[in-house]
Amino acid sequence: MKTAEYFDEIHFTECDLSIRLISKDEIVIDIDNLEISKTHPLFASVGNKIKKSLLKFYDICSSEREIFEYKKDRYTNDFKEKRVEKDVEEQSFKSGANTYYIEGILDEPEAWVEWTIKANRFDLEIL
Amino acid sequence: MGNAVGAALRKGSGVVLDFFGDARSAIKNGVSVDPKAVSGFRGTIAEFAEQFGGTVDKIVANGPQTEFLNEASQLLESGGSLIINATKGNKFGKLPPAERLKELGFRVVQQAGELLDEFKGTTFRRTNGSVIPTESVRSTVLEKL
Repeated sequence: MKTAEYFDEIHFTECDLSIRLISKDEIVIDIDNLEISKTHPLFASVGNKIKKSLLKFYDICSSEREIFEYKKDRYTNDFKEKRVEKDVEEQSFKSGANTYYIEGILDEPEAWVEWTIKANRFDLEIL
Repeated sequence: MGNAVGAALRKGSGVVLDFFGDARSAIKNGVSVDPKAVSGFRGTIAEFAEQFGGTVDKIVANGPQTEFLNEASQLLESGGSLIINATKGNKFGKLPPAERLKELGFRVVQQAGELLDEFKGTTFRRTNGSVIPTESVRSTVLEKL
């Protein structure tokens, strides 16, 4: 089951993220524990919590992650110094891109991540 | 637990309603309103608002996990403040359109600005206990008109 649009109806804070693919054409992220609001079109069929899903972004204009890596584990309030990773440098020749913001806990390295992706399109796919 | 909640709803008590406050409120004079509350009110915010009809001076919502503005509006007295501490991607920490806020009787004092000083020593956690870095949390402050 897939859906595009309605990005603002997704609640990311409780998500666990795992990167499957990052390229200039596509970014694919495995997402556990996604939440959607009542106004999302998938709510009627799956409820507000989606255990496993894939988030796919197409035609990437830029991708930048702010990474707050845990020194010990995710349950201990102790972080390494924040670092920024630019996976895809801004490509200004691509027009029509939307800006998408994701946050949650990345599996490798184990870190809180704040991820800004500029892309032309995205899909949410329930696994 | 009932006495504490009753005290929270007495005007001028100085008690702060701590929405999503977990087992015990970590806020000074806070009373947790949370399905996991051991001290405070164990239940949802909607259940709390239905059960108790009084008003309070201050409500704090740390890392909101559901919609709660209707209940906050109902429970805050005029001049009272609602402080929402949330990350950028927290859907429930975002404000509705200005018209909706007006209907609810809220004035925006600060929107997703710097974390208020009183919370800078707070450890913010997700529902499973994992930690969110404090520098990722922003404060929104609303005043009930």
